[in-house]
Amino acid sequence: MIKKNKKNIDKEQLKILEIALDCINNNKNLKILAEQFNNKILNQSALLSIKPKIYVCNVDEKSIQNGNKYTEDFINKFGDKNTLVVSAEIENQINQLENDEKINYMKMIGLKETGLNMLIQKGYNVLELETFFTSGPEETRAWTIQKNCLAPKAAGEIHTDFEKGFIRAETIAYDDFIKNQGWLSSKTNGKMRLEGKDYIVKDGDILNFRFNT
Amino acid sequence: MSFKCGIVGLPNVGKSTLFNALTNSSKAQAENFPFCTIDPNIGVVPVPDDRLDQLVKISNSKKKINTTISFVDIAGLVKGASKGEGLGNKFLSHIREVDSIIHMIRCFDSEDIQNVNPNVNPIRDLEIIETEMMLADLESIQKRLDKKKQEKYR
Repeated sequence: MIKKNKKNIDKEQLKILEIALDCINNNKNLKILAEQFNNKILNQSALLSIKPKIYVCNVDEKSIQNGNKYTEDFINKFGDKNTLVVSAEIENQINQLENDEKINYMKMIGLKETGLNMLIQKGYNVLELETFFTSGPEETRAWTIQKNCLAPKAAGEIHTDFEKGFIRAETIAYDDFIKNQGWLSSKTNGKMRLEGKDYIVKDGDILNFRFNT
Repeated sequence: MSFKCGIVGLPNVGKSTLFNALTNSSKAQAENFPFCTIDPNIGVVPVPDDRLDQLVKISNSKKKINTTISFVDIAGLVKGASKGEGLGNKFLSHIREVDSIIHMIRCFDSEDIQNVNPNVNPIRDLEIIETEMMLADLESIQKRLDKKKQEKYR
């Protein structure tokens, strides 16, 4: 059984390689691979050209707000969906400041958000990532998952035992959790759901897993 | 699962500076010299999230733990890297390990910063890097396909 599986994977990888080869040789866009295969399988092929990309245009201080002729040319050609205009030098300076100074300085040069924040947001979009939370008196923690992640898989992020022995996920949407100020009132107000194995975790969900090992 | 983003680009476009800013460390030596990054530097960065702060308040948690994202500072690529030019080939293998690629592109004029090409042209620069990655892929595909063929005849 395992052997057969391995053969299938090989076949799929072989197909990816052949398509990629054809694309590169004939100057075709490699995007067609993304339409035919899912990300995980594509990633196994370890090809560089098909990895998700973010473009960071490094500019000087005076171009942070509105860019310059170079960034204009670039965005005209490659679009702004995956493009960021950042000044690495300024980011470095901002980072050495204390919190209040940081905010003042950013205001002064007209920067709304740090490059790090912008980059992380772009990264989450490009990689199709989402966040769920666990929250209690001991700790509150954010966890990264792939979009459309099933509840047991999300549980597996915390510990593989959680995934193997998954029973249910006590689930509260982020807005409900805030509105009701925590687990207890969310529960009494009927905002806590018990979700099973087929539940697709939503961005911002607060989860508590029930499992059996 | 921490996601890895690799920062790539031609030499001296500001990769190490950005990496330092991102990771708030001075681990990467940012010097105005081509190829100052020899081993890839990895920085693990907590992902800021306002919602996390709200939840900590409500649950009265003792600890707040952000999720993380890793950045890898990969040395400057040059034209011909896939053939071993510059510090090429070795670094292409570091790029294979990352989940996404951050292309750093020079969009500034400066007399002080050395540029491997005589003028600033972001589109050309990106195309150089993309071509190098494609050539590297081409080579690795060819190798793997040849290996498959050999297996068949055995």
